[in-house]
Amino acid sequence: MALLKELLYNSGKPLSEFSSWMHAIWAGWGMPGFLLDFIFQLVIVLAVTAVLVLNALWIIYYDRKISALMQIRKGPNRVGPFGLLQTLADTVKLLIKEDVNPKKIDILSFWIAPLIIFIPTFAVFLVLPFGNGLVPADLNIGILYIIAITGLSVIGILAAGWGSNNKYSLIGGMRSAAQIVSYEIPMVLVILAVVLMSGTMKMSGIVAAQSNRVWFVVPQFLGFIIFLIAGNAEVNRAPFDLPEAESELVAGFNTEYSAMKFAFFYLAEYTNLFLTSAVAATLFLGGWQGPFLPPIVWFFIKTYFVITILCWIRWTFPRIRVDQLMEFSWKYLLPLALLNLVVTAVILKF
Amino acid sequence: MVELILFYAFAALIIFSAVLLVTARNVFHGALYLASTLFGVAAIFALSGSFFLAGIQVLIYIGAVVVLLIFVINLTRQIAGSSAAQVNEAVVPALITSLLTITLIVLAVLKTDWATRIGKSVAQTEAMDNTAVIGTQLLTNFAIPFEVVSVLLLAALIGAIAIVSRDKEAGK
Repeated sequence: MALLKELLYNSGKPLSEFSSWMHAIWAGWGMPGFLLDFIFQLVIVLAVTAVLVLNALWIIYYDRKISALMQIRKGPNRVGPFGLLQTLADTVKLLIKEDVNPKKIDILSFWIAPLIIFIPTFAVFLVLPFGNGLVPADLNIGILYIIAITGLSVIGILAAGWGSNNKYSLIGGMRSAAQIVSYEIPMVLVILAVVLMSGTMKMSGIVAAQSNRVWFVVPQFLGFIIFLIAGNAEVNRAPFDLPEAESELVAGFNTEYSAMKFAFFYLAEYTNLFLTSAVAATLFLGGWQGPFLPPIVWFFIKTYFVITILCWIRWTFPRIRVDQLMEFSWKYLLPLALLNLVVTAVILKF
Repeated sequence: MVELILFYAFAALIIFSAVLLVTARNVFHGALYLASTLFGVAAIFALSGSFFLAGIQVLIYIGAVVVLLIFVINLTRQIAGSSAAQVNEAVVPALITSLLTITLIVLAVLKTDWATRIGKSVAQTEAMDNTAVIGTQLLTNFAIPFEVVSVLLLAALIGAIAIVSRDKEAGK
């Protein structure tokens, strides 16, 4: 019982003890240590990926239920209790569907695009602190790593749009790339202000910086709002869902995709939503910290709080025009984010 | 041991995709191979402990430069659709330039005293946070080059705006 409590509340210590205990046994068998480290890393990666995939399935259901609530209808309610198994059934359906490859696609770009989008989305979670000491790899450059790796998915979207050899896909891909590049700049500036306040780019350090004072959402309230808007634009969700605007572009960059390759895009989209919310919770809402409940529970509560806000925005705002989208980022968000950064730096200095 | 294997794996990735990049007949494929080459370089940076450089490499070179390249390729469908020619009339000057560049790099590699340089930089980065070292260096020893680069980037930015607004006026 005490061990379970320690494992839940202060996961770092028992896990490292377990690791050194295993290392001792392993060395007793005369096996090289790096092999065990490799096995550990493999187990961690598989565990995190499994949690993320299950979580993505659950977020899809959650998003659909919220949309149903907003539109006064029932949402998925046939498969399993309360329709809980609906996304599972959808996934199985996508897995066994025929994989359609249109005739005039560019094979390399068309096949590699889902992977370029899918792999970085999951690789980003390497530095995210899920709990006290529950970080797969606590890199010094934590938040920079997140920004850099999430930027890779733009190439995947462009490759999907171009490789499909379809004008709707191409326009969708171009719109998406322009949108992500534009909204990344205010987002990075806001993150920079948070880094200034915490004095480190390490994710666990940013959480620790919020432990003895108010969460950064109070001093950085403007930053939090800008982060949510830019984050929402980066995951291509309404009101920024121009890349897949179904009323004008069929489905945007994933028009030609079907079966498993489409499932990759869909899973990556919802994992990205989870990622944006988790980063927002870590940077602004104190990460895994909170009273009574175990850290990992607090982490999920805060993340789902942000997800709920983003879903709420998605189902209540109309889609904006392309020119409005660009104008909003460059003429309003960017100056505000710069102002936020300068004011933060000046206040911290004096 | 593991680091050595990883180093050779990523070095192989860099060379393999660099060769594919210059031999690709399709410009869009070339851009994808370029991204893979640059990713390999970032991995080598990370292997040598320069995580900050690795992050910046991915962020700037793949996230910005390659994305812009692909953007331009998408806007000009003619070159992207057909396969591009491998050689043109500039083949001899290009050959000379490449040979000179290779000579320069090889000479620089041979002349550098790697043992002391690496030992010094490792000692320095271990004493401080890697990112902090770069920040301090940029604002002290390299302050003037840093500012010069900023002015250059600003000039490029203003130049781009000027060109675009001139075209707009001519269009009207």
